[in-house]
Amino acid sequence: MALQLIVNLLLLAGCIGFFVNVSTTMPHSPANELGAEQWPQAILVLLMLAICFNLYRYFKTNKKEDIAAAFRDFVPSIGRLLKSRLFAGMALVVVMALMYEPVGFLVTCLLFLISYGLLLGQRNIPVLLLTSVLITVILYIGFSVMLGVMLPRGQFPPLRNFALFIESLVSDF
Amino acid sequence: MFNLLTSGLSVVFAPKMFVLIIFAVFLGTLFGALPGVSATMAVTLGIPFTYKMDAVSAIAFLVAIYCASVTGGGMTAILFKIPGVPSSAPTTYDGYPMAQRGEAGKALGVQLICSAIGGIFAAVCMLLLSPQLTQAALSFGPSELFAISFMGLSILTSLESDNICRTIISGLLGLLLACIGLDPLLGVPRLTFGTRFLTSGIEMIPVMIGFFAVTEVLKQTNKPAKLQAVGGEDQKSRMSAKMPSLKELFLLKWVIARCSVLGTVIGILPGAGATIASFLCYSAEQKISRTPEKFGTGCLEGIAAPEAGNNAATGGSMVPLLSLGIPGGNAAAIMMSALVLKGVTMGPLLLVNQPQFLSATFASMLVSNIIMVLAAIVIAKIFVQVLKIPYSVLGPAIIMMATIGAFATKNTAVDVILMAVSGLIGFVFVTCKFNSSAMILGLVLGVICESNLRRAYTIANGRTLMDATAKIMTRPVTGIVLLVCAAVLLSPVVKPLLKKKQNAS
Repeated sequence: MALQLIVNLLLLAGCIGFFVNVSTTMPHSPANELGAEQWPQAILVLLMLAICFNLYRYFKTNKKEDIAAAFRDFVPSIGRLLKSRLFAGMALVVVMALMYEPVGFLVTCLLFLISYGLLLGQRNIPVLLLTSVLITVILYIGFSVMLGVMLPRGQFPPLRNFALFIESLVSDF
Repeated sequence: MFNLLTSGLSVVFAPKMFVLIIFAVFLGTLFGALPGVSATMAVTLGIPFTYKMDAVSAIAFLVAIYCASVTGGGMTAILFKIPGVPSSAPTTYDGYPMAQRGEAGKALGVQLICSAIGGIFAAVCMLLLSPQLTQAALSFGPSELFAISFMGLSILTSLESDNICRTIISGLLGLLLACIGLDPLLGVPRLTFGTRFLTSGIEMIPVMIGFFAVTEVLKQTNKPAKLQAVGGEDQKSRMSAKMPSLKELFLLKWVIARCSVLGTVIGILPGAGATIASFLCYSAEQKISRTPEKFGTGCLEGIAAPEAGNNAATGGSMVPLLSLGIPGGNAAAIMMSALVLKGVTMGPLLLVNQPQFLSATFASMLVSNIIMVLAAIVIAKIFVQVLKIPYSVLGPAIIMMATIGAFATKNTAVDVILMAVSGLIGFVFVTCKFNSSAMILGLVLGVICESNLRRAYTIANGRTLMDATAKIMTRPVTGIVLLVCAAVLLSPVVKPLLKKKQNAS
């Protein structure tokens, strides 16, 4: 409940910021033309009205005591979230996205499959390792070799050399 | 006409060509099912196979890939909530809930058969009415195209009838995201905050993959229960590859008929295409349905409508290409360049001098749509088995497939980060009861709506904005379609009020 209110307020603040940005940085169009700034301005006005109405509904449907209780529980709930499997999953996805290009597809994919598999409760390590290697190989061959989709090799020399070595193995095969 | 038909069929049924078409259908279905490989990319990947073919065989081959890839996109939309192509996004609304209930086979069966019927209908229209349909489409200007794309947006208020305000906010957020980047007409940077990577705008495919696929895996991660594929504890016994019965398909006859017509018309309009067609068909069917509340919960009509519509649009988009040499969409543009490479002169004289292009395209669409059902049933049965894999293996694999799809769009890591961030935002969206589908709808249709509306204002050349608005609104097609849009947008708000009033009196 507290998150809903916070998200709505953040959205409202963001809309105001965006509106100011569009109004101050974009060139003003002639009176008879729909310019580059007017379309986003119209959307932002509608968005602000809708968020205000949503906030009005929020305060109308929720009791004051419930909102206060939700806010008292907000900080402890963040603590609970940080310890949860969900947060670990989110962190893994973000880390994977950040290391995808510098580390390269092969290593990133393998590490991600193993770590997310462990997170989802796979405790049979040999099976986990085997399936992770198998999926990495299938995805690599399917996309890179068969479809010619570009997959990053990595920017660090050892990792890049490893990817090139695997590619040479595949091409030899 | 009979000569045209026989010449087309003789091209397609030549033994070598027939085998190539079967190959193209398998290839297209597989390409379409892979996230990040769009229909355009599928056609592009098919071009090297045509180097040694003559021009007529080449167009027949590429058309088969194109039709099959649009169908293939719906398969991953149903099974993994990853739309393989953007036009399959509405298929996730009802397809994925059905797969979760263990009815993946039925959902896939309806998707395949409706796609095939939509495709065949469009092919017949193309053969019989190509010149007339093209002339009608060319009379549509930017204002009419704006009205049609706005009609696609009018689905917003009915996506979640008990949560209209938050759905509208989500849709408007999508429209706002579509504004980021260079302005489509003037090239002025807009909402880029001086950063370079926002200049090219928010890429639609990574956001869509993030909102649908990554969010879904995160939701499953959060579940404390034992994770076994998408459907729950006794998944193994419930996951069925059973196809829909004839009776069930017969009940969808009017949905398929309406959406095939609508899809063909939308496909003919230059710049509109399969994505608008599928959203519009879904929206229209929900509006006229006697049980609109079933849409979004896993009903067959919700799969039949977008799939018949988007496949019919593929046929439609070939009409302006063959009749006038104007590509109706990106995939048609790639096909055109393949034909130009072979020395074919595209333009209005093509069908007069070489009618075999029209007949071969028709025959290829007809045959590939029939083969597609058989090919896709085989592929679908394999895909359904994939759902039986434990989620500890399937979940991370889905995210990796999504990552490859996001990266493949422009070969940049920024899109992978965009996908991950979209997944996280999508999760917050779901937690706060916002509507991810509405946001994607806004993002997809935003640029099309804006550029057409602004072009319409420029063409109207009024003294003031009000004057230009009046000129646009008085164009008959625009006025009528926008009135329908207003009625569709307001009906979920007005209906309950009227009901309340009736009950009170």
